[in-house]
Amino acid sequence: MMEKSIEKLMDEIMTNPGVNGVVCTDAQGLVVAAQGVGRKSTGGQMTGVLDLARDLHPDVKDEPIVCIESDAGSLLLKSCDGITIGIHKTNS
Amino acid sequence: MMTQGIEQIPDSLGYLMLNEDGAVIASGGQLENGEKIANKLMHLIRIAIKMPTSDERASSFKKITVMWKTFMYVITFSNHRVFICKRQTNSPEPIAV
Repeated sequence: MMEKSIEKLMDEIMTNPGVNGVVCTDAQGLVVAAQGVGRKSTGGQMTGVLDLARDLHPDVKDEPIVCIESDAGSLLLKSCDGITIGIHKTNS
Repeated sequence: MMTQGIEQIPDSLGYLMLNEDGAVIASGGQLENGEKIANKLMHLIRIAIKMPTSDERASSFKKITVMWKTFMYVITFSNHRVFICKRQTNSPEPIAV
């Protein structure tokens, strides 16, 4: 049931302009679902980066957003309620 | 010390310039002598630069941004140096009608 609603949400994200991949992991970094370029993503790195980002300012309550940009595309990371979402975007 | 204009960035709260090993070369503002935050950021950078951003293998790295509601860290690389700028997030003011 939960997987079904995640898949539905990911389909919705994929319809946004420039989005070519989505990946969703649990708090341990295990990939729950992935689409497009997101299939190649490593969930552990995603949660690891977000944990380190949170550790920069543990006193700040809101969740950080990490954006990694390169010539070819960008990767946006955010976690919410123990679920981490990574969105791959092209630079077009 | 030449900081290549990093201290002149608008809305900057502080800056750090590190070498490839993570040693602080220059610092200023809220990040002045920020060795501890520099170590934490280097740890994050080392993992983040290995992450694929697209399906193309040869995509050169450009920029990492770590954003919170009120401020952000903008990280980039040039000439074997790591440039980190802590900036205020400028939320646009609502238009009065």
